[in-house]
Amino acid sequence: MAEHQQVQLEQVSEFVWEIPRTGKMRVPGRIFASPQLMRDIKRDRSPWQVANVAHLPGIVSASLAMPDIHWGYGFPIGGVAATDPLEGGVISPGGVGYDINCGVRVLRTRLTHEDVKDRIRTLLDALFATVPSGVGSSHAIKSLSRGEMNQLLVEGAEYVVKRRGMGTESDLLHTEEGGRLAGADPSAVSDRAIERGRKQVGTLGSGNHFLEIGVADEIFLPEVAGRLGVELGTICVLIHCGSRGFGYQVCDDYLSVMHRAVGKYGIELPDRQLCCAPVDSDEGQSYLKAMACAANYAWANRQTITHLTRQTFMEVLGMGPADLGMNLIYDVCHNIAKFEDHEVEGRTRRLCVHRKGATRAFPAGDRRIPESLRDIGQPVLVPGDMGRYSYVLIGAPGALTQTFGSTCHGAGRMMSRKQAKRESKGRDLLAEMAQRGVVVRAAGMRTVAEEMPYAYKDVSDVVDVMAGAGVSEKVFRLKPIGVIKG
Amino acid sequence: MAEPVAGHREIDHTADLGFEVWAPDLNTLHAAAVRALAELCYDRAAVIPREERFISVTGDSREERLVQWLQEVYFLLESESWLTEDVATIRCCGDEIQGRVRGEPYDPARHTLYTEIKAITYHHMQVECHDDVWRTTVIVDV
Repeated sequence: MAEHQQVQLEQVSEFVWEIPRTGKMRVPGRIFASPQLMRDIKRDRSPWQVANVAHLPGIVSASLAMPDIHWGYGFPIGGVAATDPLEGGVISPGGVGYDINCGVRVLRTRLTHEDVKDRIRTLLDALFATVPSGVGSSHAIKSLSRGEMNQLLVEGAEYVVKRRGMGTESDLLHTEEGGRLAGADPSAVSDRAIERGRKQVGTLGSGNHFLEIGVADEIFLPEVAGRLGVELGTICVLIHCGSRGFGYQVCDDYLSVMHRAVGKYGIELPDRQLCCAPVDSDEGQSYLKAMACAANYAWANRQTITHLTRQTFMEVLGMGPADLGMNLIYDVCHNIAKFEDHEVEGRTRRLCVHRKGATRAFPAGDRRIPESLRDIGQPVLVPGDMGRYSYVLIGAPGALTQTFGSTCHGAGRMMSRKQAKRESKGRDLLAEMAQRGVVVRAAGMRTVAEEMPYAYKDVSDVVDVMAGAGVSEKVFRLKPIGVIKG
Repeated sequence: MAEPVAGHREIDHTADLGFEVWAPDLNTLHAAAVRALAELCYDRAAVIPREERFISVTGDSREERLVQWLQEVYFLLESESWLTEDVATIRCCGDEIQGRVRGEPYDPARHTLYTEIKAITYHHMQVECHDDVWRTTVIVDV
């Protein structure tokens, strides 16, 4: 479909709009939204990208998009696409994104707002000094040797917990895939990726990545929240980051490989940024091995930051680990491709599910959820902007029937970075955030300007669509009180 | 007001950052793109051009060579914390670009960093010449 062509969108149910199959689309497109969100979505070219993804060989059922959809490289951010390797299905690096296994984890504590409200600035200063953030941030831990990097890339968060003593078995149990994606092979990774990654374990980076202290200010499902150790006033910590320069380089390296593969396998695509290769091809397999390394790097990164955060809280507040009770509720990835069994038209098929700016959301009873959470469902963490709130959700049965077990991942930008910077001219942004009750520490004020709340949609509109569609349910809401931005 | 012979300007893009760059020839275009990239990432005016680094890239197309060239400049920042101020010499010849860039190591006391870049993308990139002016758009993923 040409870029200038208008994409036809038909509302087919209260929360779903469909792009009918036209031309060489193999399946329809399907966007989850409310009428209000759809008005914004139509303003950028992301529906056109949903239609383009529908052209991928082996795509199953529909090219899907969550309500926080916006333009991305090839695939839209907020896109979900499942391909069947047995029917020529492809793997596409653009369907995962540059920041492989960018994700979020949320930790609960035994602390209440009352316990920290007078110490929040001290806590943030200490965290800011301990967890490197900003452009090219590095050296949270000693630079890794090649051998150590290889171990980390295969073992992921397990490397950090078991070989470095930074974390607990419980952390691994409460991380998607146990923090270790199978199939990682460092020989599929370039020297440059290793070079970019070896100094950056335990760092936030910049852009929309953050470390946030929040207080549970609204509980929607008290029983489930209680099971997660959260009640009204509980202090939680959110960590949002990914695979840093390592993952970016893996993506870059394999985009070149896939550009060549498209010609080699005679794949017809409406946009060269969707470049891909059959899952079973050498190119596809190599990318999957390298992607798994990057996914593991990201989990190791978030686990290291978790350890540094726990240490900082204990030092500043003079507490031991038992009193602090900073336990990992869950860690999800929102940029990944994974092989999962899904029932399609009455048949169980093993599919390659691309989630780019979308989160896995398996419902209660699913055997792929850790046993301790299986009766309530998989927690899903959806950060909003740094001034309003974030949500913790739980997967619902509709996810498996409608979205290959996926839901939204965030608020989605409403304003370009340039426009947000223009908007911030002459304003004291830190004072504005302080007025909202949020203390901000940032490596650069330009990032703060780009990430101000007015640049984002209201995340509650996004999570309400997914709740209305029966894909995920709201468990509790977190209001930020302290934020570290890169 | 007439546009300068070579230059760059930041452009609007919903999720990412980008710039448009133009110049009378390919060598100058690649130099202007380096300045544009540097200004997205840090306060270029504060960088003293007291050292040089050599960069050499190859690529099958003009777009691929420009992406590679800018990636090398960014790699200096990420791997060596070395900031490029400008291009000292550059030669675009066939499928190769060779050049020397000027700059200095990052000094937190003097330099302000703005944004980390995930990648230089091919999105909307078309290195083309019309009416003796070379132009392209560069979108960077942040």
